[in-house]
Amino acid sequence: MPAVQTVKPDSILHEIAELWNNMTRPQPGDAPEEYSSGSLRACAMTLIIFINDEEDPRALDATLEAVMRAHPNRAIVARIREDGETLESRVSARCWMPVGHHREVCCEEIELTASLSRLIDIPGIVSPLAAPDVPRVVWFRSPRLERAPDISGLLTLADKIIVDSDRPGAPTFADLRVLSQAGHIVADLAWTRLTKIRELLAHLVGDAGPGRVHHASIDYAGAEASAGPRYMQACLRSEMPQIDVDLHRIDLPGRGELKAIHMDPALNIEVKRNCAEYETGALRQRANLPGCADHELLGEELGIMTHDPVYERALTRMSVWIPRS
Amino acid sequence: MSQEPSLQDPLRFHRKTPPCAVVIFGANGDLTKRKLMPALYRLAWESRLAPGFAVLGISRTPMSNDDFRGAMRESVAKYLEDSPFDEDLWKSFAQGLFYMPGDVADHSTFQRLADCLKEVEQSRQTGGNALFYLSTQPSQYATIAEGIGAAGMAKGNGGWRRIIIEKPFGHDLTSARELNARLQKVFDESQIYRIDHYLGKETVQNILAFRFGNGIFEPLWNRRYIDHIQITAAESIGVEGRGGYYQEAGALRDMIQNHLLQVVATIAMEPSATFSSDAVRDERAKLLRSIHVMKAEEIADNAVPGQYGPGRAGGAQVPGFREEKGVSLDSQTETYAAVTFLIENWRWAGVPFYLRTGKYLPKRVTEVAIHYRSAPLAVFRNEFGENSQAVPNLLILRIQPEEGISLKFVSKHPGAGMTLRPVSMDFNYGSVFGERSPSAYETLLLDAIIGDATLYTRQDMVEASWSVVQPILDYWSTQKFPFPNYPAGTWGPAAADEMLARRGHSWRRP
Repeated sequence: MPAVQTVKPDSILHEIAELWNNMTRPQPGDAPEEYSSGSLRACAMTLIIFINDEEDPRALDATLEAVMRAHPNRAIVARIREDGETLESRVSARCWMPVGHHREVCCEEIELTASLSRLIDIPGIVSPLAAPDVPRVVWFRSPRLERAPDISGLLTLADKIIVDSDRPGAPTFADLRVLSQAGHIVADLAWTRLTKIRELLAHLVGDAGPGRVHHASIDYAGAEASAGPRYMQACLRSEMPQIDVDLHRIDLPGRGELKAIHMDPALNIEVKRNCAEYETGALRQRANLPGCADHELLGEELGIMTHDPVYERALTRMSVWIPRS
Repeated sequence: MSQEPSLQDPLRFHRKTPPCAVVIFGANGDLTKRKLMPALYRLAWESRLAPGFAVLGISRTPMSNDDFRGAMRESVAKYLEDSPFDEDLWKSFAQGLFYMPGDVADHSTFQRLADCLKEVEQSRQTGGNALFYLSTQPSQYATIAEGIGAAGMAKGNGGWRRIIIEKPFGHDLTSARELNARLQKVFDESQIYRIDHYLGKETVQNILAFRFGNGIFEPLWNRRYIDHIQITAAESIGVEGRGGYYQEAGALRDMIQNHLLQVVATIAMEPSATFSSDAVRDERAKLLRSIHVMKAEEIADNAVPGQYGPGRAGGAQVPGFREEKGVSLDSQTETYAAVTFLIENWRWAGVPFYLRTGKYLPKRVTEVAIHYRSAPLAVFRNEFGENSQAVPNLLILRIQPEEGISLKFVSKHPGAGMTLRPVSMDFNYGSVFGERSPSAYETLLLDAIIGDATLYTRQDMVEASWSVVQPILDYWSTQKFPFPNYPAGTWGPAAADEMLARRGHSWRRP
């Protein structure tokens, strides 16, 4: 019978220390001044990510690479395998040279590979690996966790929990509401995708006088509304309780995404790929809607380490959502 | 009472900006092309501008609206930094650009402008809000303000009216007062936004966050712990074809009277009770008024002018200032200035603030170096030698480039014995907040549209800083200096080193 694999947090921390010693050891010719070359270790938080082991690592790499520039972090990537008794670790550093600077910035990354059966060991390993005195954020990307026997230990790791309802296997809205009501800071990237469009809507409605709006309808494309239009409906219902908000399927191919918002009196916003076109009064305008790549969504959430009352109110309305059409 | 429903989300949304028209005088000028229009476009790109936003440009060049849009498109595409140029967004943004040719010396221009502005207000639904941006020769500021007033544009019909002027605010104390008086005949002080783009820099703003957002530094921020402070704004280039303008200004007027004294105010001001615009500016103004105004007999020892001569800079041989185009062969204009200021209040009494700025210095760097007093007892003198007191702690606030903060302290060298070595603990602004910082003009334009004047200078601040600088200007104007007194590519004249040496200090080499 093969020996059970173990991972010792102390060994990983030692590996990290060694990694830094090697990277920051002065090289011949290095200047002692603060403008000298060399590496700068940066860490503003611990980001713990659960993904499926077979997920293409390039997509996550690109996301981490980009998000670390805005939120340097110690990344702990837990790759979850379906079978076996695996538990392994690997330490590396991710470095980049900011434009116009002379010194590269580096963040460390710890990769853990664990099978579902060993998931129970993860909290005990990750907890001592988290950087002290900075926030800990857990991003659940693995649908496999749905079938994990008990993830309560994982939840205790986090100051903030991030999910994405637009990905398969995401927790239900009811689950999120339970977590939120238990005091966890919860975020859903499906909600984050709406920020720019919500901001545009808030400004336009604010200019028109929100009290004048008495009806809103939200168009989505595809067979069933995805999380986005449903969140938008919940948000309008919670923030503007005096108005009726309908959800309408329009005859376009799609995956349930938000296509347009119509408000009475006249305000129409058509949502396109990276922009929105809107009509208000006699003006027809275009607004940029950047920021829907994973790293941008994640970056926005990592910038908010408190409870988000607007989201939490919308989430409450999501749990009692009943489709009208 | 029922609350008005709102879709606002302060955690995630930017501050809401009201619709308005920005009226730019000097719309065909360099500042508009290089800074203002790229900043406005970038704000549009980030959806920071209200739907009814408009720009109405004025200059003498005959142009149609479409010509103006074409010229601005070219400038934005060329000078936009760290941002993509989006053709579709530009088309939408350009719908709000308008142009009116006109000479500000002609009174009828302002009446035509008033009519034009009304049309823009109606077509763009700006709600009567207008921001006048004077991107012209400073000598035209008062004339333009009076023209705006005479045409009835200083007061909006239901909307607000504001005016932005660029430095210099006068070329001495008297002219600054005169300009203020003429501006204030037309505009209330609350409508006047005097731009000092240094205050819009993220890292200058970060000084306030550093000082007043942390509990550990402020107790050490006084004469008891700080020995002296050095503020350096060094440029590695010369006057770059602006010799004619620069000859009339000089380093003291161009940098110290405005930018560097504002940095001094930010470094040395008392904490304000709130972060409201007037509370912060009250403290800045109070500090500027506390700076000792030198008597004529104190100036030679505390203020050093310099002018670069030929030398090697940036790996090339460069001409001296007097050989630059538009500069007279016997010019007495200083391209370098170093001044020792003393602040007469309880916090700073006796602490010298050394300021220096210059053209063609060895590197481009702006920083504040806070030199702490040495430890009261040199316990490790044997390890450092008798001169161990010469290793004081140093806090460096780097404003540009490589924005960040460094703390220098001594540490034990690993190994046997008690060998100490100075080390540096660095915070790099760009590496912790890797996202793009808005340009100073984006910040300041947005603040003016929103009506937040915190980062703008006020009349009393302008006059206080001129009061400090005026005696030096007066004294220097009576002297004939042996210029040039430093070769291009060096750290300035020897007299600047001697100025510090008299107090037992020396300039830090950044």
